[in-house]
Amino acid sequence: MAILNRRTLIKTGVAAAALPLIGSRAFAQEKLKIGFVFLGPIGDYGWTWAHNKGREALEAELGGQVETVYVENVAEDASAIPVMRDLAQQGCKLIFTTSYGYMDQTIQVASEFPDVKFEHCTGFKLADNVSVYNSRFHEGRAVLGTIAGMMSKTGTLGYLGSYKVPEVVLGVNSFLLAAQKKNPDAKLKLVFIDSWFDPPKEAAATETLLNLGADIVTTHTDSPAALQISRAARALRLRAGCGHVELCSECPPDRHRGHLGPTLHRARQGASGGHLEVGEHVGRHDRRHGGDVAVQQERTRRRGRRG
Amino acid sequence: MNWDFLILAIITIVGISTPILLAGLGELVVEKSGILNLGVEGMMLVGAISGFAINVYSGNPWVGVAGAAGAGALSGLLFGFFVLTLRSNQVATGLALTIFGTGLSSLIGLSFVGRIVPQFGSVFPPELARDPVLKVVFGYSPIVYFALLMVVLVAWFLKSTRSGLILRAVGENDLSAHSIGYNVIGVRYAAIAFGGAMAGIGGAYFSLVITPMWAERMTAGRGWIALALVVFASWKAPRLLAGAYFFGILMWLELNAKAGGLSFIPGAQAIPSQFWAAMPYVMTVVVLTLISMRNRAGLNAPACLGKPFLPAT
Repeated sequence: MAILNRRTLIKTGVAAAALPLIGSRAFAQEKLKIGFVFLGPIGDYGWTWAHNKGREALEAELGGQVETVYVENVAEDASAIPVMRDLAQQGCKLIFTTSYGYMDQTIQVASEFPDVKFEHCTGFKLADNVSVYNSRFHEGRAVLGTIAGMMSKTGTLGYLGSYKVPEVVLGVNSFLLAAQKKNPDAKLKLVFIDSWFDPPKEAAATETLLNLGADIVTTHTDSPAALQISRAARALRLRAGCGHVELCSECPPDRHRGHLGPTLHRARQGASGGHLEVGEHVGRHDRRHGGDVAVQQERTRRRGRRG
Repeated sequence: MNWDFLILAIITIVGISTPILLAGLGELVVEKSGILNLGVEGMMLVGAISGFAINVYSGNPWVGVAGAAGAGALSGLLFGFFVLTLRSNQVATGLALTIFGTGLSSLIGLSFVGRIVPQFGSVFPPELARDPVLKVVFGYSPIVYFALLMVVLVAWFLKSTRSGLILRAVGENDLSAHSIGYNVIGVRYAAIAFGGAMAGIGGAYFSLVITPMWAERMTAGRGWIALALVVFASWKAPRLLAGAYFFGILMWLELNAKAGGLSFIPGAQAIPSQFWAAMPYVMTVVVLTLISMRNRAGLNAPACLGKPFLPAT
């Protein structure tokens, strides 16, 4: 209480002292400080790159109203907890934890800082001050699946997955369901390489998929390795970048990409408005993909087996 | 299973085995001289980015590979300076080299993300390299053939040349080699430089051949597998070749198990892919056990491996 009083006092004093110098600016709305916990380096030309574009878009659009700080290369383990705690103690009132693997850590730190709002990317656990957000990646995947279903000659599609987590499973289901609308006999060969990023393994897995009869390979990993391999093998190349890979000169135009600015913007509006809508910021607020993870995994597994 | 499947499988396996073969071969020579360099992963990354960067500027992949070898050797010599001249702890210094190499390669690589490089052509006439069957012999990158040649050369060097004998003597008993007048430090510097160069070429195989691009930490732990491979091969070059392809087969099995491609092996579909992923390490332990059971003299490890050289004079 004493600290609060002192802080208030200092603030009032500073404002009073600054008043003659800067005039009415001292009464401007207090800046909302927003923290970002990033998985990779902002120069990864992939996931973190896209998130950072979103952060830059926030600063550009809202200028003086927000201040952002970010931490790069935060591992998806217990070491993320002190990073989040530190951001909260620095005065961030809204913290974006930008990868699936931060889910439990976010829930834990959020319980320690009830007045700080948290936005967790692609998870499925909620709390009073934790909501989740995602892009509608499945829509792009459905487009790719449709194209794949129409173009594949063997009817065997290859899918290079990373981890078996909701956002990846979502894309797999969406891709195959869309392909089967065009070609009911389409089968999917699915490989999870258990890494977001492992170029040699991605390359070998792509060769394996091609060797198993896939004439179209799509990926949900972070490097363009699969694309390079499939080009070398002269297979029909098709890539779903999903906003992950930004090697513009390397990727053919048949991929979609996007940055997360609009999604983050929407989330921010909720936070600065005094209350955060707890839920999922996914365009249509489609709740299905959050709760039905187990069902989706089972479905994918069955589809994978069938192939 | 048909022939096409088998041929493509062999090509995949040779492709993923080559970098660990190159790096493992270099480390084998280093360890034969009595030095344990745990910095293979770091040297591979330095080689990967150097080869890529030099290829970008020179436009010639051969120059890139030579640069990767040079940069790998330099980073090896840095390690050598600490462990040989300053006599620091080899394990700690090797780990530091891995961390240093990872960081340095990321720093150099900042401006190379997303760049495109010229690639190797085939060393054989295109009719052979693209033939649906003969490509299993002729269809690889020149570095693959270079790696095979180096296996023969290293095996011959260690077994049949005087210099190879001196190198082994230095690794088995450095004090004796020193007392009869051999330059222990010099031999070890040379071995470390060779090991670094080979690791550098192994790294360049990632950034120039497998996926012609640069990405941070793109070797993804293959340096550690190379270290396990040297032990698996019980410090013998021909076994290292067999071991590298064996590890490659295990990696291939892992990916095929995931994609449902093992249906031609009865019961294989029931084995989880994680089983195959763990196999290189399990097999290393099994081989170590078998060797030590059979051979009472021990594991065939160089006697002075990892020990500092402290001559009386």
